Amino acid sequence: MTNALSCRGLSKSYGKIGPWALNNVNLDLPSGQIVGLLGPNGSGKTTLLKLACGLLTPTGGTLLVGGAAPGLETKKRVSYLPDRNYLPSWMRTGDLLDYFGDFYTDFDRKKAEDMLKRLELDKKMQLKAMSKGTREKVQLVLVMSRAADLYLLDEPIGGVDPAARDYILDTIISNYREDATVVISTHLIADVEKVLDTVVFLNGGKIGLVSTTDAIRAEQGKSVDTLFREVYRC
Amino acid sequence: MDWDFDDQRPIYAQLVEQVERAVVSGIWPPGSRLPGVRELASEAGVNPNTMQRALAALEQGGLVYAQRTAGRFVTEDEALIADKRRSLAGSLAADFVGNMRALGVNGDELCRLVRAAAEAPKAAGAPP
Amino acid sequence: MLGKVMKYEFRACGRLLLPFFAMALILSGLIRLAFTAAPMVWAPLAELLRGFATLGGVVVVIALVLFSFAYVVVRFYQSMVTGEAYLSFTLPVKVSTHLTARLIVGTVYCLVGILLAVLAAIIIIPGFFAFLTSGSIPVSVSGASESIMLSLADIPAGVLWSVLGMLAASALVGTLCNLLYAHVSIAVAPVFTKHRVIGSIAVYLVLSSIESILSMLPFLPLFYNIGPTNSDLVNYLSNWMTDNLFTTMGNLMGPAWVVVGIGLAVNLVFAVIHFFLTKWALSKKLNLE
Repeated sequence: MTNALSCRGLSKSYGKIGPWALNNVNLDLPSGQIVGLLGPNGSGKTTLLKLACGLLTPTGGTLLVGGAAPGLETKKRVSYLPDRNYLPSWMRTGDLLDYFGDFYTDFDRKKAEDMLKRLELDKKMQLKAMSKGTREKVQLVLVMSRAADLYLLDEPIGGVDPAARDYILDTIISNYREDATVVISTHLIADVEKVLDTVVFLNGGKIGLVSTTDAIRAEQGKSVDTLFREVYRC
Repeated sequence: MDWDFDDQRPIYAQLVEQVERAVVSGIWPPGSRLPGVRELASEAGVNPNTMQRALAALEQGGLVYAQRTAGRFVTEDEALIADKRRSLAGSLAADFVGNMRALGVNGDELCRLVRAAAEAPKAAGAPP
Repeated sequence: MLGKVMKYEFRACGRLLLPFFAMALILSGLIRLAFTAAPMVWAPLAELLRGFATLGGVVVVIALVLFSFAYVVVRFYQSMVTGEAYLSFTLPVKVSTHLTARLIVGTVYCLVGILLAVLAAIIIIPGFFAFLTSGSIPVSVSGASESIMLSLADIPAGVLWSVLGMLAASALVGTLCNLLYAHVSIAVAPVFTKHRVIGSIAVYLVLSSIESILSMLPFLPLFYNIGPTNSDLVNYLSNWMTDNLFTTMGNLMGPAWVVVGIGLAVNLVFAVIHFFLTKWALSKKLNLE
């Protein structure tokens, strides 16, 4: 079974001689898992996700998505939620449904509409008229309504209130499929650790630890959040 | 049902315990159908794979059984359920006594306290 | 896929450009009104009015051409390098499709801008339209004793269509080439530097300098044999004075097309090179902020 994501010696530097956003990363993520990419701001989480999407080119090493290098074919199977505004702000929610439906064959419009209705989001509203929290919910709905093999969510719960956070995590759980992998990159560890299969600690561009929530709790007798704070104490 | 988690213990173990409690206390009556893995995981706010493993362990223990297309059901074996109730009650009692002893409460005083609590009117919201 | 990308690009550019075009035409109408109304107003005010109207007219015509181009380039920058690039490059669409779509949409809007500029001129300048269809202009030729009235209606249709053809071809090729200059400058700059705007200007200057020099090469053979006794060009120039002006123009069309054609072809070759350079920068060397 090919790994959803596979990195060998992956390195990325934004300057000619460093600093290294990612430094010699080796990682294998099988499918059918919800993975937490945990680390402080600036640890390289976003860089890793962008590399997987083909928005950045590696400085060294390789990265494979479902066995293939990032390109046209992988983009059909990867659903990415960036940690920023990337959709044209003049578009209305309804327009975005058309847009995603036009470009992605795996987009389930009915599912998206149901989710929008449940969240009481108006299809006629323009993105620019929405609050930050509402906008993030819309972006999440669009991304999760695709039947992708790999979901890359960059800080999906960062900018929203606790109730919305619960809804977002619940959506991730309910959408779980055995042949798909969800990567959640976040620094809000306590909120997500119950939802994760695998936990990957990332700091300063290097992988610190790869384990499962239960293994950490069983071995250390503490939550992942507590362990993380100890390991990466400032 | 209310899922309540301690963030320092493995989730898998806690899931098993909480399902056992639900069955033993009748929240999930014998023979009743369990919701699907994803729905349960969503209700509990936990990873579906972990929920699946917990349910598999419960199947092993016999408290729960799976029927290929129909789903998972609580066992109808009253004796098994009663057994489970006894062992859960037993460990709760052991914990209680341990805590009381740590306070310095023993023997007769301990029994008197227990009897008084048992005879007192039911507190609102307590399980049957 | 190309159709879909184009559909959304047309819409995205059109949101600003279509209202702009409408406003420009309305403004042209108002300016013409100002010209018409001027003589009926108190004299000093009339001068002021004519002054503003003339200024306005010039601005509107130039803006129709330049603003269309500028906005199309800005859209390219927004959708391929900044903000929306995250969306564009995560779509399952080939880079060449993205580039082709933007090139086509950009060219269409630029050409519309040019056509509307002509339309605006027709609206603004009283008598311009009449002149274009049947008017005449004075042409003075040095050495002649008096100026000749050159009437457009007298020019042979073949010559007129040739000239129009050359203008249209130049407009089309010119637009394509300018857009591709913009594309390549914007796309290649981030490969070498963090300063996107200055970098783009630098790339543009470097490329245009190299290409200006290179584009002179095909024309060298033409001038190689220049000398007072056997230059075709000089022969034609002397014929101008003695032969019938219009047959000379007719005879000139052939070589004129060759010269213009070579120029256009050279520019197109560079444009194609730019397209592939842009594609390389945005696929093999993509690094979105």
